[in-house]
Amino acid sequence: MSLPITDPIIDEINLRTQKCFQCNTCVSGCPVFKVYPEFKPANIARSLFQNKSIPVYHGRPAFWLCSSCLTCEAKCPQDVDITRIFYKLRNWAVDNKFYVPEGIIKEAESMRTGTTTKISQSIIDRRFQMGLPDLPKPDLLEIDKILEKTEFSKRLEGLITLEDLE
Amino acid sequence: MAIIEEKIKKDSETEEKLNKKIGVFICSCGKNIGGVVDIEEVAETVRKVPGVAYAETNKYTCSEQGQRSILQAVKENKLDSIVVASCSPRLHGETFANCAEDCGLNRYQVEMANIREHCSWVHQTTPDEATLKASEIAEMAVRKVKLDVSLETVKVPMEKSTLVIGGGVGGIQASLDLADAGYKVYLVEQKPTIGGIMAIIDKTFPTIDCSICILGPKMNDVKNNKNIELLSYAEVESVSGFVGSYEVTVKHKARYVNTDCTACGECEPVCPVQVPSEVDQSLGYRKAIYLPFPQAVPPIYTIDTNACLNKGEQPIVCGKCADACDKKAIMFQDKVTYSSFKVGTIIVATGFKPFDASRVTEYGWGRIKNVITTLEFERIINAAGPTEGEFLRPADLAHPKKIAFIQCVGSRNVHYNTYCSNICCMETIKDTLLIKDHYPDVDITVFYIDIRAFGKGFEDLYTRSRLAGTKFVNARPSALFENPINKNVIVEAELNGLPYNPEFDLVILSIGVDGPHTAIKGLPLSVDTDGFLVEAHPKLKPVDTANDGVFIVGGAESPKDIKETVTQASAAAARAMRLMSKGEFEVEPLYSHIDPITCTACGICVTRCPYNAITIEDKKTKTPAAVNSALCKGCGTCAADCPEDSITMNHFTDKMIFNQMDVILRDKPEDKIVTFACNWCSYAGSDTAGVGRMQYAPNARVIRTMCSGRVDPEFIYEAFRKGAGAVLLTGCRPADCHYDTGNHFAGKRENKIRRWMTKNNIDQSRFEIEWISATEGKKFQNLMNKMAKVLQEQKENILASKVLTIEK
Repeated sequence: MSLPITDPIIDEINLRTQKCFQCNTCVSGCPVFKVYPEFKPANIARSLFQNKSIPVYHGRPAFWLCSSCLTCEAKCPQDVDITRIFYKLRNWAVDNKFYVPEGIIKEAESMRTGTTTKISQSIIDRRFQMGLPDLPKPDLLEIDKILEKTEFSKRLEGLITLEDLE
Repeated sequence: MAIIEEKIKKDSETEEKLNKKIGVFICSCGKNIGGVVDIEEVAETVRKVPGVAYAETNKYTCSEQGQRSILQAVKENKLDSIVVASCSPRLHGETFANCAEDCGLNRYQVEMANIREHCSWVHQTTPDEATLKASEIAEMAVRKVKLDVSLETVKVPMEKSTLVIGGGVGGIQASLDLADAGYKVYLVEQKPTIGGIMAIIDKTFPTIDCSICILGPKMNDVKNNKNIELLSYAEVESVSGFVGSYEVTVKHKARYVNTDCTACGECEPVCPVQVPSEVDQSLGYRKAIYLPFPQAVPPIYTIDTNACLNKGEQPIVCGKCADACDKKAIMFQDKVTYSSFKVGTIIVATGFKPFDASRVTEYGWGRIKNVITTLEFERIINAAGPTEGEFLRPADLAHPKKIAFIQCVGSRNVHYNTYCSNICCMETIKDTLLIKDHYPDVDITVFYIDIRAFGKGFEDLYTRSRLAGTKFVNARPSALFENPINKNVIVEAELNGLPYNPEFDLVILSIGVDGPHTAIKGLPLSVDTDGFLVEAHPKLKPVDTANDGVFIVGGAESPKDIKETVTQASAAAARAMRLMSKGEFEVEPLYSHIDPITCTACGICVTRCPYNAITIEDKKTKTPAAVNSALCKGCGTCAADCPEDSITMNHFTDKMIFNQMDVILRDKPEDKIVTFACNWCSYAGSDTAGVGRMQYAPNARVIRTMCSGRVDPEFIYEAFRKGAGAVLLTGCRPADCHYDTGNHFAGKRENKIRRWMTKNNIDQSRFEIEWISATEGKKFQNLMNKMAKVLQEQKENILASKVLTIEK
C-alpha cells in the first residue's frame, strides 16, 4: 500500500531523492531491513521520487520505521541524505496531520510526566531493595511552561493515528 | 626569443601609409544584396569618403570575374588597400585575402563590410534604412583599412625532437610513432624500467592476451630504436622556453649499476636484504639489488639504497653483489646527475594512480587479510608473481573456492572520486573468466551498481562471464566482516529484496583510479580538481592542451584502458609531428605589443593571458611586461584591462575601433546600437540570423573583435559620450570562449561599467551583455528587437545625456 504526498514538501525532498542511482548500499546495511525486509531506504527514495508517494509497511508510513542508525546516510555514495528526509517527513507528518503511529503520540505525551519513558514500579522497587536513593522528581511546572511555549499540545492535537489506516 | 623580438619591431615599423589609396568593391550578390540595398547609392556615398580612390559595383565579387575586376582596379589605380562590401568575412575573408595577395598586396590590407548577413538579408522590409546602414558599414570598413598595417606570419623555429614524459604503454607508443617517423625522442621514466601498469598486470581485456607478452616487444623496440634516447630512473626536473624550443632539464637518479650489466641475475640470490616488492603490491619480496620484472627495459639491475646495507656511501658494509658480478658492473660510488636538451614538443603520458582501497574503511582492506584489490589479484594470478600464478589467498595460502568481487570501489562516490573509473567493470569480468578457465569449480559473485561494458567486444565478454556461471548481484555491500575462526569474509548485502550476507573465502575489491596531479616546474599544464590533465577541447582536441606543443595521453588525461591509451598516444604523436614536420611553424600575426615605456609592470596582463604568453622578467626591478608573439593568440583581453593602455593589438587597435564608432555615431547617434561582437560566436550568431532571414530593426552596427575580452570599458564610455542610443557587448557563452577566459574577464567589467552609467545618468537598460553562440540566430534577432524597443522607451534619457557633459 502507498499513500500520495501532494504537499509541496515532496518537491523539496525530491531534489535529494532524484540523486539516488539505486546502488542499494543503504539497504545492505540497514538494521530495520534485517528484521523487516520490506523496509528498504532505496525503495522508499524511489517511491518518493517517481510516484510522489510513501509506501506503508505494517500500517506505518515507511518514514516512521527508521531507527536513526545513520548507516545508510554515512555510506550513500550520492549524498541522498535519506535519514534526514525521513526526519523531515516525520515533522511534516505531525504538523500536517498525516498519520502518526500511536506509539509516537504516546511517547510524546509522556513528556508531560517529566521523563522520556515511563518509570515502572518494578524499577522503583528494585532501587529501594538495592538501597539506591529515590529518583529525582522532575519540576512539572517548568515542563508545562516549556510545552506551552513550544505549542506542543497544539501539535499533538488532532493527529491521525495508525488505527485509521488500513 | 631574440629572433621573435626582431620580428615584432619590424612589423610595427612597417607602413602606416598616410596617403593610402583605398578601393571599395560593392557586391550585389545577385539579388541577395542588390535586391534590397541600392548599391549604386552606396558606391556614390563611399566615393566621397576621404581616402577612397576608387569604387565599383559587381554582381558576384567572389567569382573569377569579380576577382579579375579587383585585380584590374588595383593595378590601374595603384590601390594600397581594398574593401569588399558583400557577405560575412567568416565566409569569404580567406577568399579576398588570397585575392589581395594575387594583386600583390599584403593579405591584412583587406577589410570586408558585411552588408548581406548583417544588412540586406535582415532588413528586407526597410530598404531605405538598409541602404543607409550599408553605406555606414562600408565607411566603417574604409576607416579601419586606412589604419591596417601589412603583417607577416611569424615563423617559429621548431626543433624536430620530442620529450615524452612517462614510459607506460602510452609513452611507449607515442615514442615509437615519432621515432619511426624520423623524429628524435627523449623518453623519461621515473621507475628503473618502462612498462608502467600494463607490464605488471596479468591479462588484458577483451582479448585476454598476456599483458607483458604483447607489451614486451614494444618495450624492446624502444630499447633498440636509434631515435629514442631512453632516460630511465630519471625525472624531468624543469622545463623552460616555449613551443618549438623547450629547454628540458632531467635528473638522473643513482642506480649504482652501470650499463655493463647483462641482467644475468647472479647478484640477486646473494643479496642478504629482502624488502616488500612494489611490483608485487607488497605481497612478495625483492632484494635490495633488483630487476622489477624479467622483461624490464633497460635490462639493468638497480640498487635501492634505502634497503641496501651500504646506504650508497663508504664504508662498504656488504659487497656480496659486487663479488658475484662477472661484469664488474656494480659501482659503490654513484651520484645523482643532471642533463639538459632542447625539444620542440612535449607529450605527457604520466598515467593514473590506482585508488588507495584503505580509504574505504568499511571494506577492511589492510585490516581483513582476505580482502585484496584487483591489482593484487593480477599479481597473484601472474606466473611471475609472488605465488607463481597459483590462486591462493593471503591469510593461509589456501585455494579459495568461493569468491566475490565488489565494484565501484572509490568511484561514483561523493566521498572518494565522483567519476566512473572506466576500466573496473571489464577488469572484473576478465578476471572471472581467467579464474573460471583455470579453476572451473570456483564460485564467483560480482556485487555491482551498473555493469559498464561499452567497448568493442566488451558486452560479449560480459555474456561469456555469465555463461561461465558468474553470479551478478545488483547490490553494493554496506560492509565486510572477518570471520575470526576461518578468516573468511562476510559480505553484508541484499538480494531479491531480502538480506543477503554470504561468506566468501576471498573478496576482491575492484578499485578505480586517481588522477596523477602531474606538476613539473616550468611546464604549463592545466589540472582539474580530480587531478587529471585538461585537454584543449573535450570533443575536437582531445590530446592537445591550451598550450601549443604540449600534448597529453592516456590515464593522465582521464581513466581509460589500453586501447584508448594507445589511440591517444598515436594521436598525440601525429599532432606533434604536424607542428614539427616543416622545421618551423607559422603563427597568425594577430598578437599584441606592450609599450615598454608606459608599462608599469603591474602584472594584470599576465593574469589575463590563458596562454602564458606574457612575462615580467623581474618583478622587483619592474622590468616591463613582454609578449611572446609565438604564444599570443590575439584575444585582446590583456589590452582591455591594462590600466596604462600600454598594449596594442595587431589588426584590432583601439584607434581602429574608435574610428569605426565615429562613423556609426556621426549621424543620429540616438537611433544607433553600437554592438560589439566576437569573431567566433556572437558575430557568427548574427550571421546565422542573416542566413535564416530573421528580420529585425536596422538600428545596430556591429564592430567585430576577435574576442569579447577585447572590449575595453573605454569603448563603451566613448560610445555613450557620443550619444549612442544603446551599447551591446556580445560574446561566446560562458565556458565556451574560444580563448578560454576572454568572456569571463569581459563579464567581470560589468559592475564598473554600470556604476559609470549611473554616475552619468545613463539608464541601465541602454547597456546589455548577452552571450550568444554561433547557432543562436534567434537570440540575436530577439536582442535586436528588444533593444530597438529600449531606444523608443528611453528616447528622453538618450537625448538628455546627449546634451549634458558626460564625465570622462
